[in-house]
Amino acid sequence: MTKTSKLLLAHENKWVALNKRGDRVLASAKDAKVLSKKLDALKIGRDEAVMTYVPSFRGWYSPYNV
Amino acid sequence: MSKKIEVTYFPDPSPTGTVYRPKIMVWISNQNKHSRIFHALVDSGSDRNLFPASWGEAVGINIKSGKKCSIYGIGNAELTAYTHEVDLHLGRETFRTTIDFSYEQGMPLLGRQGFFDLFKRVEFRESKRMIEFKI
Repeated sequence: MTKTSKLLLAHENKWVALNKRGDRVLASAKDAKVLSKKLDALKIGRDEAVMTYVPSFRGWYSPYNV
Repeated sequence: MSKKIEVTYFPDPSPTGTVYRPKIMVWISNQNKHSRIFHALVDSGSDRNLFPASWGEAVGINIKSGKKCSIYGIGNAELTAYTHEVDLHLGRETFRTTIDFSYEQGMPLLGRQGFFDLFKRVEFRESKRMIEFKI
């Protein structure tokens, strides 16, 4: 398991903001809009974070089941 | 002269450890309002682009003002979505395209109409865990 995927284990079914190198979680939330607001409050700029959705990893993922 | 954009897959957790997915860094904008940078899944099985509604709202779009459409997937599950025209940014490139936004979708998906058809070639290099887009 890579360092980045290990970091995401605590954030199943959430949006996570990682630093650009992908080695640190800056914040997470159930919803992308809430996470954006958290990043704004933390004064983390647009170029300092990338947001990613972590689907459930209890099973294999297909993007089509709601 | 054609341009080339190369991006690497992203390591997500999976039932057996790590799964490398073709999630690429993009952002969208609408009337000079820019979203944060996020990962979207390059999905050759999707007919069209499908994003969570929250990303459209982040750039000031009134989601329900768009053209309503239905999206069907596995198990014949139906999603309601609303189509809007936005700017999609990938690397240094900006593309004017359409995206269906849904309140029922979690992962942003980049599909064939509105994404794949922006390029001359899209090449998945599984062994190198990267995608190459040729413009």
